[in-house]
Amino acid sequence: MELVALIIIGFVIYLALQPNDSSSGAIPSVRERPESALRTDGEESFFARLEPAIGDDGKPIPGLLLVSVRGSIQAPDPTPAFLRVMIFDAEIGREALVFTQNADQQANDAPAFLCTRPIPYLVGNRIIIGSWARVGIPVIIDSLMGPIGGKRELRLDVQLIQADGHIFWRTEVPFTAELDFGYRDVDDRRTANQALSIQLAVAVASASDGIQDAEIDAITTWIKKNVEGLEGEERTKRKKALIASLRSAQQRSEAGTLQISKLITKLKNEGTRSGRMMAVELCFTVMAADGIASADELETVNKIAKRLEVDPQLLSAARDKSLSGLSGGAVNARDRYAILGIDASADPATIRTQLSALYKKWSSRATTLTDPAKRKEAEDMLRLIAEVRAEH
Amino acid sequence: MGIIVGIDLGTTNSNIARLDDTGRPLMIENPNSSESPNITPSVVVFDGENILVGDSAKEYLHIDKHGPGFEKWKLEMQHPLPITAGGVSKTPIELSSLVLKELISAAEKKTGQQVESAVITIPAKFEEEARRNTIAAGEAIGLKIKDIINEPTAALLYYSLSHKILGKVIVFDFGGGTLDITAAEVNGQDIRVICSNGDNVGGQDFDDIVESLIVTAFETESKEKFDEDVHTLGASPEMYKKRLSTKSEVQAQVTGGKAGRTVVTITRESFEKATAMLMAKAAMMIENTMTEANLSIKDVSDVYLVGGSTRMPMVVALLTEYFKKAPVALVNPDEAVALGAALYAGLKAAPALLNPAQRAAVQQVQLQEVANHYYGTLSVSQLSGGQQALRVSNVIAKNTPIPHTAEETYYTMSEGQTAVLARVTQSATDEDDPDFVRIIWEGELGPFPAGRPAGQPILVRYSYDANQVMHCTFTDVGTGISKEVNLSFADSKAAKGGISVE
Repeated sequence: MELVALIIIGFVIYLALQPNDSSSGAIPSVRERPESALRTDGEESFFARLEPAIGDDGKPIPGLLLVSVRGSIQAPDPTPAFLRVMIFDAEIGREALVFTQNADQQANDAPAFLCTRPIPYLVGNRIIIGSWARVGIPVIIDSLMGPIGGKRELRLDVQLIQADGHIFWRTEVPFTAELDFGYRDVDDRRTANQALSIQLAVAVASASDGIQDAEIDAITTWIKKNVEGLEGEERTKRKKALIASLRSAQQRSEAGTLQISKLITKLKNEGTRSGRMMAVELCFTVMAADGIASADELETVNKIAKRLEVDPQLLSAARDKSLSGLSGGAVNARDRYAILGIDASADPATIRTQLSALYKKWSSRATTLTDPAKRKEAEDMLRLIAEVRAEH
Repeated sequence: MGIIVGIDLGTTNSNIARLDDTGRPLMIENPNSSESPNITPSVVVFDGENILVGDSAKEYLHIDKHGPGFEKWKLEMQHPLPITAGGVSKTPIELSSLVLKELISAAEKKTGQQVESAVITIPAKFEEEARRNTIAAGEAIGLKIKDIINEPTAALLYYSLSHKILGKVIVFDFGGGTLDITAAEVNGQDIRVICSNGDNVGGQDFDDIVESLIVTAFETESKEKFDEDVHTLGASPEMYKKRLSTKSEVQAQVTGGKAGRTVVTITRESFEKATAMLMAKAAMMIENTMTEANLSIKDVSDVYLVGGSTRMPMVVALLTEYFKKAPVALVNPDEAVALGAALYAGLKAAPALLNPAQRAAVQQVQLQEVANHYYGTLSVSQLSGGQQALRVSNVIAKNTPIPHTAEETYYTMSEGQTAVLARVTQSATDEDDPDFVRIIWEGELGPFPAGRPAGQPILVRYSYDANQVMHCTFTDVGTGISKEVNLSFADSKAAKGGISVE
């Protein structure tokens, strides 16, 4: 049997699609809106264009572009089966994006082909697309990214293909896109972000009683995990750089020059959104590394997360993953609130509501999880939640 | 003609009821149960060649705590690995089979008739495996199981028969090992379940706490360390707990050790303080059920009590405080579940098995259940920057009235993709993290023709029918290649046999 490369169902509903970096949150500036005739031959015409995607609120969706086509041409026999749109980037040296649309699927009015209306694909023996119709999946700006930022020369390539693979129509539309950064820039940012995360984690770990070996091990493991996806020289280089960050952070911490507040400001100014989340996650991991998360440490990380404006939902997910293992041991009163992520000074009704929601979540997990150790963790969380609730 | 029965296979106690000739459910006594004839303790002991079940097994285990006996295995039905006691290993399914066998043979002896058709009750919280394992336990002894039913729903069925119930009600079913809370809308015998929640907290947790209170008091009093091999409680913790329900304090006796006999006093106050954590769980479950059902206190016309643990005064106090009115205990709360199950068994039995009076009686009953879990599939969610994450997307939401059919379309990810990994997930909350859901079925859809571009639509259709079977179909729209799996929550074998590929 043929080796199955990627055997997972893909989502086309891009609800989860959010720019993960503040910089790509900017609206891509497609300076020239290309609208070029693929062919105008008497009565025949076919057009394609690229435009920012517009959300329900009427505003452009950051990070997304849409390809639309319009036209009317005489269809040959057999009728072309596919419409293929490619975006070609000479600098990357390959097509940046390909998507294909099947005539039959359109006829079935397949709901999520992102057409705002059914395309009257074939009328008699003509292919007619009366008004601008979106094709394929939205173009993610990041996927058009070249090595560096700036002006990008790209080509939109639209083809009509017959069932046997023969290309019936084809034309290319050059267009320019202005991108704030390229993947090299992203790499640099990422490395900078990782270095800052390490420094912050060292600062948090040292704040209470000096950094422990287990905490250093946790950071080292994290570094290894972060360079896993890289290859060869790049990997060695990045790993060395990050280890160096760790060593220098340790030295600065000992010398007393590593200040949490300064690191936060730096992360806030220079870090990306995902980078800030990464820093908070690392702090949690490091904090849990020695098996004890004190209320002070937890409160510090919660405060850091607040100042870094980390999404509260992501924050609670990160806390769950790193701290659920800690609830089994004896936990003192202040720590319990911190582990649960509940503000102990809130009014009792609010605390009760929050506890009930937590109870629901962990009760489901305690039943669902098959790994006995994980299940035990979930049950410990439940006990903790119930103990806190019993006091209210 | 044979009899039709409903069985409440409980954590600590089990019982069985039948549909009588007039179509009313009726408890069947177990001649071997001397203490309470309607109750068969869910306890099994392997004494050499003899297998003891029920009362005799319970007595045996009280005397020889570390003997080859088993109790409270119901919570393990989810993960049916063998349990070992006194050198004997048995699976929860085997143990359940033995209790069922005892109940059936007692019923057949008592009535002089064969059991023709049965329904077994299960906690609302039970997941698919536990449901299937329960049925497997019955099938292992040749029992003809027509269906399973959630315990609180069964109790409500019975209550609606004997009382005129109208409006939205809460059933608070607090048993030996589980607490189930159900919200339902009732109009006479027309019952529509709104939602059900459950958790593993029950009488046994209270027993454990009573025991630890006695042990602590004994150790303080006698300055002696409590040792199970030396010291013995005068009565079971369960017995002391029951006494604390009617008295404000009890004298517990510990025999053995240096003192020979020590008497300690346990007050209801200290018991309630020590179990506050368990009651907090109950309180949170009530709140979550009310939120899920979108009910406010004034919407609830009554709260009904089911299960032995509702006899504890603090349970009544909690419910009275929350709902601002006293809960209703209609019959012996231990029996409502089995009685309701017998009625439901009549509804599910082949009409030929029923006499005209029975047929007329069960025809009055209308029951609409809801899906007890979220059912979804795993898909890849595209984040920007080319990042991808495996996410759960739910197709059928918990508390959706069944039967129900839902469809979602997904797309292939890669060019030339020749197969899709299709998965059915189950969870009790709307989780999107795949680490926290259970994959209840997994199969590959394909092979698709080579060379197709990415973005081929895959139609996922889940259809949950009234017989507790969920038909899941994964279809590649382009080629029509499709895979169907029938996941039955009322037949232990259906999931294995029901896969068909077109």
